[in-house]
Amino acid sequence: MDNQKIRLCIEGNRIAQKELYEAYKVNLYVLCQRYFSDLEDAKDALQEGFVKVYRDLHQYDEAKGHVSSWIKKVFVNTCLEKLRKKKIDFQKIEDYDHEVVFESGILSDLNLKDLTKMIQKLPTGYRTVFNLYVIEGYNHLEIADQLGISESTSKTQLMKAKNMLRIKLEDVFK
Amino acid sequence: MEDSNNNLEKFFRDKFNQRIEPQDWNIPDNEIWDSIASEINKEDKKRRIGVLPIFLVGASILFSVLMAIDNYHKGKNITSLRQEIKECADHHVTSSNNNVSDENVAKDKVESQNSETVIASKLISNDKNTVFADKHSVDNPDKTTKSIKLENVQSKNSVFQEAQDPYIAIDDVNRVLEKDDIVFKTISDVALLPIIKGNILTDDSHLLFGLLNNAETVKPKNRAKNIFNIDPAARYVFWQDKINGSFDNPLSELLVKEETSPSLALGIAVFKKLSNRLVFNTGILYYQRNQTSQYVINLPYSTVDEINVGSEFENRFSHSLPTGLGNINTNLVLSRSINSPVTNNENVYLDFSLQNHTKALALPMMLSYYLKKTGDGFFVQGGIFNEFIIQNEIRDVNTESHHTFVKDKSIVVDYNKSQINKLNVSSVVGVGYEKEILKGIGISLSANYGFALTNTFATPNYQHKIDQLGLQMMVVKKLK
Repeated sequence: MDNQKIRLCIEGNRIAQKELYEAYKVNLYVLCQRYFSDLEDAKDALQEGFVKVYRDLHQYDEAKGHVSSWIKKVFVNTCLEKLRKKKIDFQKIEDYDHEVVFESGILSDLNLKDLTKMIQKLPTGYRTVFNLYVIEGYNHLEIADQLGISESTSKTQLMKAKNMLRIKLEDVFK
Repeated sequence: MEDSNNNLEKFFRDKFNQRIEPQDWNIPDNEIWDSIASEINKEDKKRRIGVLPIFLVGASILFSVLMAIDNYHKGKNITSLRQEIKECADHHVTSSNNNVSDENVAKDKVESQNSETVIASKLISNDKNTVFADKHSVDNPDKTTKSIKLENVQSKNSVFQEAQDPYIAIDDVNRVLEKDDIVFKTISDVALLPIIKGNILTDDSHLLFGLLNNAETVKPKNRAKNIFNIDPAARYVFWQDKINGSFDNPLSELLVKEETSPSLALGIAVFKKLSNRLVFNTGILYYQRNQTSQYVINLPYSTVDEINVGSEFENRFSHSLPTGLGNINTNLVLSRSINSPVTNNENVYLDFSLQNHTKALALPMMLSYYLKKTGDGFFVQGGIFNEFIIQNEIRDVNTESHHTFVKDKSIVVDYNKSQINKLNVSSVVGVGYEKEILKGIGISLSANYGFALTNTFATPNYQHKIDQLGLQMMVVKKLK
């Protein structure tokens, strides 16, 4: 996405906006699915995220990085915002479903869909911290600030998330 | 596989950083894009409307300043006119006794329309003097006390006549004045005469009646309506807040209640009477208020992260909470005795309250419609309420643990002041009752509901609006 296209998007050019949508929709859809176990929630987040991108694109500063990083950040914030509205309890784990059916046979061959399914099956609190720390690269202080929790809670959530994933992977490939 | 397990984080990170194959993901393209396009259209409309509050604020400030200037000039002119009349009257009290018997005095008996003191004005052509005499002096020339002699009238004659429009000059400049040319006006009416050069006040500050070159353009009735009143005012308000919009709660904290303390506002009120029942009012009021936010916080108490401090264990928590001050950071210390039976990650519930103190200037722009007549009786009102935050600071912080063994030990709070908007705009509707309780002092009681138009927070991540129901008592000293 070159700067001219971005400028056109800011000016409200629908064709340029559609091009931007086409260029990033798959990556961002996968991102949304990592945060929500419900497919409809992921679609809603995808829609809300793009609306925010178009609305705030004028704030993007190309000196601070590529537009794709900026867009990704907007989407992460959108997902977190939606999660906050759901008032998720970090300790709630009863919705954890161990029955994950993989499409591939061995770990190295696990595709993104398989891994996304695994992440989706984590309790929301675990999933959120895992996504932020492992995939997005936030540190615990940033996660604590974003989620309004303590650093120690963030660490605990991550540890439990990783344990769950590890157990699942071990179960599957025994 | 073992390598991947040993480095689970790296495995997932690498996988999700790989190129994603679109065919693996079924995105309902048209449906989502149509929704996005529709939302963008709405956003565009909102953006256009978004400048409205700023425009209204600007307009209200400009309008208030203009009204203040306008009122200041008019008040100054009227005061100076009254002073002029008084000085002239005083100056000529003695001398006029000598003049009243001459041709310069209006000797004719003139019937006045009212019993108040009146001033008769007449321009005398032959000696270019103007004589003022009250009714009493006309009826009883020997007892004249308030006749005014004006000298140096440099123009030809013209007179006023008591007619439909009493201040319109007659063009017949050479006519010798008759008794009907004498005009009687109350003193208050004199004060409302058109103030234009060559009419009442000349460059040498003499009163002139009759040089109305532009008289047709000025009508006393309109002038009376256009006067703006600036009066000192005091307002006492009880607020009932209602949180509106999507308040952005963190995951495990819950905002329970928000309260705003009653506030006393002092300042000036500016009124403009638009008709017999309609009044535009604005002004500037200064006030201070306290806003308290109450939360319930749920913390998993980690025994793993505890620090041993003498006979106690401590656990430190850093939090981020949305409040009326924006997103605040808290550093909380919880403690328990070493032998207390607490399991790892056991939930600890805390009551947390925070009070912020705000100093603000209010600039209302309201229209009031009185059912009976302006300033008297019941009225309905509506308009825009602008609030400028001058200072906002944390006044008080409290925590209280509800856990049997874990107690709150200390809390430190800090926040970024730039997070909150300095300007809050709300639309207000209300009903009220107004009455003059003492001479020149009016009191009004009203109930208003304010719908917030702007967010409390400047940051886009937080959506927080406060609708307020206010019961207001306002006292206005009507200046003369």
